[in-house]
Amino acid sequence: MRHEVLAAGGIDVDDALGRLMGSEKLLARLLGKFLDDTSYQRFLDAVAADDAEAGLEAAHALKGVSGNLSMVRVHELTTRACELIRAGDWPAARALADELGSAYSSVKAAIEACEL
Amino acid sequence: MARQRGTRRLLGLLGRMRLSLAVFALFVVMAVTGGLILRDTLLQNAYESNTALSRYYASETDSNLVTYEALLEFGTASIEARVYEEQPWDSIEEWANLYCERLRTVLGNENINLYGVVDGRVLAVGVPDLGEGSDPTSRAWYRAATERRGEPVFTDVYEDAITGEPVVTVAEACTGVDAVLAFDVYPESFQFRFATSDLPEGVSYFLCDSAGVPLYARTGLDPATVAPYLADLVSRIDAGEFEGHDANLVDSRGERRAVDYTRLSNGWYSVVTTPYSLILGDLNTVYLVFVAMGVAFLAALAVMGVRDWRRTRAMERTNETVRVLGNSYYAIYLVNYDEGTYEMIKGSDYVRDRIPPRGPYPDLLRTASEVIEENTFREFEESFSAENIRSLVAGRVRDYGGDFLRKFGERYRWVNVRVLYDESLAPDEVVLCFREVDAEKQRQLRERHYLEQALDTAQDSLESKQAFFNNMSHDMRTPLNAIIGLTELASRDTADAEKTANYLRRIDQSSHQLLNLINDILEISRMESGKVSFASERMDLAQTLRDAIAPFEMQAREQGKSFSARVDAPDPWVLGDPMRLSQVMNNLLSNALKYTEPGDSVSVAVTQEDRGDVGSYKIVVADTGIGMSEEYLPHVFELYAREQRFGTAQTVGTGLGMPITKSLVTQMGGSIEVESTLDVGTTFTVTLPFSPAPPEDAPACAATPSVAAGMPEDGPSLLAGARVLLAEDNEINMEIASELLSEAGVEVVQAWNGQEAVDAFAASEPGAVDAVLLDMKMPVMDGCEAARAIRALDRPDAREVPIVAVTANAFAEDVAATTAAGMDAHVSKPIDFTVLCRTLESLIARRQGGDLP
Repeated sequence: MRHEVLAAGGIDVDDALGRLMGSEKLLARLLGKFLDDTSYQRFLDAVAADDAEAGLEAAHALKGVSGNLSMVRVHELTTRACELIRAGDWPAARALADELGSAYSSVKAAIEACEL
Repeated sequence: MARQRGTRRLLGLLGRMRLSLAVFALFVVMAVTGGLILRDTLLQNAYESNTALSRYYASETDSNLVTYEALLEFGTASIEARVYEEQPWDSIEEWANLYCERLRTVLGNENINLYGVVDGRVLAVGVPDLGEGSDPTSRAWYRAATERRGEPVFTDVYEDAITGEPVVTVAEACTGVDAVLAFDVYPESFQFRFATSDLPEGVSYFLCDSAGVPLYARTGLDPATVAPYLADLVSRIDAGEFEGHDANLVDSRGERRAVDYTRLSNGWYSVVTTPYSLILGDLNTVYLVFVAMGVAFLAALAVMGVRDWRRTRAMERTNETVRVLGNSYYAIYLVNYDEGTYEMIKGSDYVRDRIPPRGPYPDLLRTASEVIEENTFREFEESFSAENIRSLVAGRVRDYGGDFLRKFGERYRWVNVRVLYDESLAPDEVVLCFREVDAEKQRQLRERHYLEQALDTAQDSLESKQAFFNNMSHDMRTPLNAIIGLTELASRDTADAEKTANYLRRIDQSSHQLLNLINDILEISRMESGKVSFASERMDLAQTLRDAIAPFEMQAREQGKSFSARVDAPDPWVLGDPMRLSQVMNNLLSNALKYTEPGDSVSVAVTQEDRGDVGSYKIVVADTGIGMSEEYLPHVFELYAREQRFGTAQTVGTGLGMPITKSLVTQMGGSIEVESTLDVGTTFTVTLPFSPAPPEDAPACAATPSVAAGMPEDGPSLLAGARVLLAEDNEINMEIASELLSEAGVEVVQAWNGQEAVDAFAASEPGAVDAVLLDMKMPVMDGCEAARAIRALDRPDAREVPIVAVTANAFAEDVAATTAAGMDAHVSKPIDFTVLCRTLESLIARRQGGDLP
């Protein structure tokens, strides 16, 4: 596993490993699973469907996962999205979709580059 | 007052309507005069024509009577000759018979009798005697005839002595001899050949004798009433009542009639009466027209008057209003900018003394210059020159004006000047009005001053906030830099396990410091936006405080400081928020430890002040640390005023603890005070009110649900072998938690949503599940709902199994929701393994302890 690649992709590898008792194997498996996680897609769907409730649900899920896996940027953005939606500002949360997309793509590209 | 004004207004109105009223009066006079003249003329005409008529009938009557007179004269002439010739009585009687025959023949009346007195002897033809043997010389006809000898006379109508019928006697006395001859004529046999068709409709004609006995009547009156009517009429004629053209009477039918008469030579009357309605018939129409015109005229006048009155009233109201408005101004001038003149409507005493009520406008400006400051006046002169006013009007600039200082006596006061105009009402003219606005202006200036001050304050506040954020950023950068640096060091020296461990420990410290700082900032932010909520639940105050104090006691010992704690609360069960109370204690104690050196002492004393409906509890935390300067002391609870604090080297905390503590205590209804002396020590005294909690049967609730930090760590051994039900809908999160817990020897039972968790718990053997971990947000059934469902299950362990919430939102509200759902604790996402294990350990240990006898 190439830490620098993952770090460049927006993953705080040390933080994640700290949480997973230093198990790179576990982290690798979880990162692999992350690619299968549908939360991000569901968020995009909710944005497309203009469904704030579904958006909150998806963002919340993605927030939990990205937090656990120390995907700093993704976690930040989803946290903000959740706060905005809770505060009733769904349009502002939707506007985060692009930024979130790029953060998500970086993470995804990094994971794929590591062939996990 | 109002009546006075009304009277004045009415008088004014009448004054203005003078001409109209005069015209009306003239009209009325002319109409009445004209009417009277017309009436008189009509009456005169009628009089003339009716008199002519009566005369005509009189002459007609006369001519009728002439026949009788001629016959009688013939008779008297004959008898005179015979008496004169002294013919014997027989031949006289013979002649008399013959004569009577002729009379009867001529007059066509067989009933005519002739009688008379000749030389004192009664002569009678056709009548046995003259009745009752009375003396004929005493009879009316005899007397009348002898009075006027040689003239035939007619008697009035009288009743015939024999027949009783009305009769008129025609008699004549001879001039030469003593002989009177007479015969009777019955009125009904009068041969009146009047062309009565000449009489207009409604006009009556009467012929009567001198006593008013009707001889002939052509009238609409009831025949029975004619006799008394005529008798009355004639008596009044005799009295002279019916002289002239306007003689009239009201007849029995109530009709007014003009009376015209002619007296015949024999004393009879020929009377014509004409109804006034006939004479004046057209006049009434004329009168009606006049009256109608008058009424119309009057109505028009009234309408005009009312309209005028209303207009006057409206105008007067306007005038009054304008006057009231004018009172606001101490000076008002009409300025004609075309002619360059002014007219003083109202002037200040000063100006009135110096210039006349009218004059050239420059004079007014010059006078103004005497009371306006020189610089201001130049501007004033430019703005209110005739030229500028003209351009203002041309440019339709409304309500032009401004404020300036004007000298009143010795003092300058603020005055407002306005240029007002209405070019449609008064072209080339504007109203220049001055109003004193000193008080208003002073207030405005004062308000403006306050506003500026407020702005300055806001600016200061903004700046101090800015400083706060700068300092915060600095404070955050410090541990962050340490973490980065140490991480780099650690990764470089991976071979040296001891060094690495040391780096990691320090990294951990810095991380926690940073986390504390951020938590504090978030707390403050929430407090500032008023989003902090407080629970009101049953708690053991003494136990909560002891739990909160315990970790610090250990920490103090480790740091070589003496620590003493005394909790004296006779009524420990109160309603309150244990988490917030712990937070207050944490802040106070960590502060005390932070500013003390090894060898110093920290003491906590909790006492109950009041007992009763609301208990008051005093918490005193005292230390013998470095203390605070007198200058700083007042700012200890302020958020944005601690620049120097953030700069000092010894501060290891965020420095936000005290403001947070103060805010918490205040919101709990309590107070906090601080005493401190530099290098001697600090004492914080917190006083908090708590309502006593109602007694509760189950003592199980003595537990303090709180973030399970600072619990004593007895090693992971407790968790080994424990069975934990884990509900989490996300695969990755589930795997992480499962892995971590498995690593600690926990047997994990997985559930993918709340419902599954409830089902799994329900399916387990009682006591088989040692703890439940519930993610807050899950499909099908969320964490709170699942916790409530588990607690509601009918089995012995349903109420006591520890339930821990896993939530991404560690806000007080969320925590309160988990507490309300019956959960014992909560841990934040991303999961901190140490915190999770400690929480589970303490909860399981307490339950086991509780289970022990």
